[in-house]
Amino acid sequence: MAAPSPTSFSTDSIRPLYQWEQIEGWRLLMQHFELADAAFSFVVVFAPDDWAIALIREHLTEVCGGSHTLERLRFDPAAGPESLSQSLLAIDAPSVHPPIVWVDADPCDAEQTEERADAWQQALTILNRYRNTLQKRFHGPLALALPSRMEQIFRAAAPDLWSIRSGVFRIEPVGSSYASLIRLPDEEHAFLRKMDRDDSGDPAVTLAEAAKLRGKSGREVLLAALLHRAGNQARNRLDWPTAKACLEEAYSLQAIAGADPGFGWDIANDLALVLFETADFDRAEYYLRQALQIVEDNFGPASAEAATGLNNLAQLLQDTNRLNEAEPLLRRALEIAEKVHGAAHPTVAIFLSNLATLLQHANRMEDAENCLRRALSIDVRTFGRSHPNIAIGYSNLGRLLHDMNLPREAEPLLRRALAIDEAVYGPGHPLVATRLNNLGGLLRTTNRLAEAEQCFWRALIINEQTYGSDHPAVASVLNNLGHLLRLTNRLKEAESFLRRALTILEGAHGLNHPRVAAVLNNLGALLESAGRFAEAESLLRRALMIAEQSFGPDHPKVRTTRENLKHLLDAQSAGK
Amino acid sequence: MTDIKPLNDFEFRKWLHSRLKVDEPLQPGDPLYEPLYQAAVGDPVEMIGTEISLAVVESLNFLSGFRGSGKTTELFRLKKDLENDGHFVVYANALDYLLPTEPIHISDFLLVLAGSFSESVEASLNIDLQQEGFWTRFVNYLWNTGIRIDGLDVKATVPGTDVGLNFKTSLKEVPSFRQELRQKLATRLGEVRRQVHEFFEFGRKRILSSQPKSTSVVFLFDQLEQLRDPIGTEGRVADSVTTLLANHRSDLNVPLLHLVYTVPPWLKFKLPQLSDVRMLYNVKLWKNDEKRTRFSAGWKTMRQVVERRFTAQGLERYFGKPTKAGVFSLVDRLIQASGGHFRDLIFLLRETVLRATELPITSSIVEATINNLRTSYRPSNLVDARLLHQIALHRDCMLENPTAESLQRITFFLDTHCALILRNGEEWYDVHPLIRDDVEEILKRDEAARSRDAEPK
Repeated sequence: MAAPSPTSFSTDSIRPLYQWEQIEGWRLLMQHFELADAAFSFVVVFAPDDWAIALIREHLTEVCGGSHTLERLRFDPAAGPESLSQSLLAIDAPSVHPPIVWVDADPCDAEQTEERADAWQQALTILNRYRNTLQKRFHGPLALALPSRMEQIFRAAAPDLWSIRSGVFRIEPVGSSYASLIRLPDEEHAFLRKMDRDDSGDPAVTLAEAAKLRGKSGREVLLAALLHRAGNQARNRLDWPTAKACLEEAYSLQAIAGADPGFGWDIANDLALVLFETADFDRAEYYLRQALQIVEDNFGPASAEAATGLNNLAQLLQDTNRLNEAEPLLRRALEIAEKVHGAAHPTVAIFLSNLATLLQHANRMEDAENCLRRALSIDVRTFGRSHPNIAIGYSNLGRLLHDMNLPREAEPLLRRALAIDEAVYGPGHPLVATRLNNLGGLLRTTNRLAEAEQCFWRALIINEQTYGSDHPAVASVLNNLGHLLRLTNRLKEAESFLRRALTILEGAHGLNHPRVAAVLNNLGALLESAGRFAEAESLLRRALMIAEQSFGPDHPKVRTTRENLKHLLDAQSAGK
Repeated sequence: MTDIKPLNDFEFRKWLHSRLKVDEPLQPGDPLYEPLYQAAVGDPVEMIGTEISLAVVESLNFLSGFRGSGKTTELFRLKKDLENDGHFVVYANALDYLLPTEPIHISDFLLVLAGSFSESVEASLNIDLQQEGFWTRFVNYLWNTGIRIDGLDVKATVPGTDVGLNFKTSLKEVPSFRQELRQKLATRLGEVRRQVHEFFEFGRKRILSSQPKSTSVVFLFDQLEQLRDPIGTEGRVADSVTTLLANHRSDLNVPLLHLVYTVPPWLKFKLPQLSDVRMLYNVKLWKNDEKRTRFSAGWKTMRQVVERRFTAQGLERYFGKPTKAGVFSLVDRLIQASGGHFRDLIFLLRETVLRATELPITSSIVEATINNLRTSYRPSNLVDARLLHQIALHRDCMLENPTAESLQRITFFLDTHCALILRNGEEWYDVHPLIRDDVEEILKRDEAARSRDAEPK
């Protein structure tokens, strides 16, 4: 489903989401109009987007009836930023029974969101000059209705106008707030808050509390909340079976108990993550689709939540090499995010980065680069140039350029990302290890092996200190280091590192996870270098089988493994 | 209307709503006026009044305060006090003549100062200066000296034309006109100054001749503090105002006149040497100690603000019975949430009126109101959160080398009351109590997110 556009959408599509009597912002706005006397009052209305504003205006016209008339002033960005002030000051509203002057803009295409925000900003900056004049000229209510994302911009662009607001009314559809995800009685909330404070991170403690609730009627939602918590605690400890069992039970319980849909969404996402980590991709996909259905049904197909759901599902499809299926989902998520948050929002940057990764996998490098550069530009504008989010942006772009065989362009970006994270987190932080791992990869391919080795060693030490010696993050560095040691012909050391990586990953993800296949591939190549062809063949065949199962036959990783196997078989034939 | 008994609940709320307007300067004697600053040691308005009385002939005074501190209301009080002391007071609003987001140049400023004085004198004395009004005089001066500005090629004395008004409007609204005028007057600043001073002298004499009981003339030039840069711009407005006050201070002084300007609070960061600015501080509800110990006098003042708006009778009807000590706990909760900021307190009270479904109101109404206001304050980015955290920690704005951006942010914080400026003994700053916890929470969340986000996207 495409994101709504002015031609394909109408306010009828979102009308069911607005249960007016339940929307506090709406009630307060009505109160304001009822209580305000005939003097000037300036109110600001925020709603998720221009469609919602159009709906609010339509409804306001319907309910005001004889008590108030509504005079709409349409802000047209094409007429220039001055047009808003000019039109407002030209209104000749009567002093007796003045109408509500309602200012808003028509909905625009998602691509124009950023442009529209700029137009509003300029118009508000100009309007700010006329605060005094507006106060003198208007005798009744003046309402300015803007998309919610404009609130900060409004405050900065028109501080004088903001300072004379009589009220700010945020009108959002019921159910979009995450404040009440789990409808629990107060004492149960208090119980959960206490657990938050005392949280030891140990799932056994939480499960012991959960056990006390089993079989007690009416406590199902609280039990589900505890199991959800225990599941995530187990996930943090890489205890996948416990995590899976807890989250599956939590998901069933919440569905039976009819808990708030957002709660079900949360559990489904967490469960999918666990299933992904254990290479149970089909069931992971099932829960991600469930999660998406929940948000589309409850928050709407064009909601921010739906965008996140689409993104999550797309990530799984991408990781299992179903790029053609993943891409439209990510693009839809992106369109929704642009519409809901505005084109310059950091969430848009995240989706762009994810889309770039997908395009990178699909070998559409230039498209990927465009996405990453746009994401980076959004993040720079939002966070400044020294923020850790920018380090992520630099790192992603650096890795892409590295893949595009542009190491000269990539290296400064990877070094900059490292420098930011070192400055922000200190030299012993695991994120610094990630940056070192990336930089080491680049140095290895540009044949600066000594420097690359230093990077990998530093990364290894950090990860071991942070996570302990059996964590997948440690295995990732061991794999890279093993590969490098093979290149420097230290085969024994290399083998021990790769075997250690293999043991860790098999323990963490099971025997058939694609991360296991990557190590098998490297280990196979190493053994081939050592002339241990039979062992190498067995490992490469296993790597190929896992990779084909995970990614299908045409994935670059599958091709690499297949080529390695062919090379080995050729070498064997030549040796015979 | 003070007798509220006959009103039903809805009418009572409507009545309260009308008494809780957030941006309406109060005239002296208004029963809603609470002397927020008179109780403080060194009432800034009284000090300016004393300065004018002691200076006798002429003086230059600056008043400052953050947005919503009641500067205009206090200027009205000053006007009344000065009039009682026998001065003739002329008031003008700078924003009627200047665009707040445009840099100001000394020549524009002098013209606007004299032009606004001219119009205010006409309004105050209820006279029409016609050809003797400043705008007309100045257009004639341009004509007679051969200065031609595009769009202003008619001599003002030509009957049926209103070029004086045209000149004033163009000066405010048309950038190209302003630019051309500046260029052409750049080498004639001395003449402009003489024209302006001659006009002030003319105006002063005209006033004193028609008001024989007046001893001197005071000109209050309000809203000059509204000149500021939008966030994210290069700081040209702030620079121009700084230049005006630092390099052209003598031009702000008009012979034989007492001048009072309201100036921006951020000026103290740009021009720390400008020590004679009288500041309207936030009402202090806590002391500048680690625990932020309660400051009782501030609470008393804010309670009186509420009582004036609600009346003693209305307080009980609206907030329920007070404690034995006569305290309305819900009022105190709102005062605490206001951070001692007068306009925020009114804003909060007004919103409870919207939210009230029954009277007396409940604590849930008060908490919902506070939460809603908190949403408007919450910092939107980490840069702001970090800066606010520093302010809360050090109780200082620490702008030793202010950049345009940091100045804009601090101004933005003060304008939006995210940061408060207070005084006991020396000046100090603090973060608005509504967002103190939020600021810390944002920083904590960021820290946690950094640790969690261990893999690149």
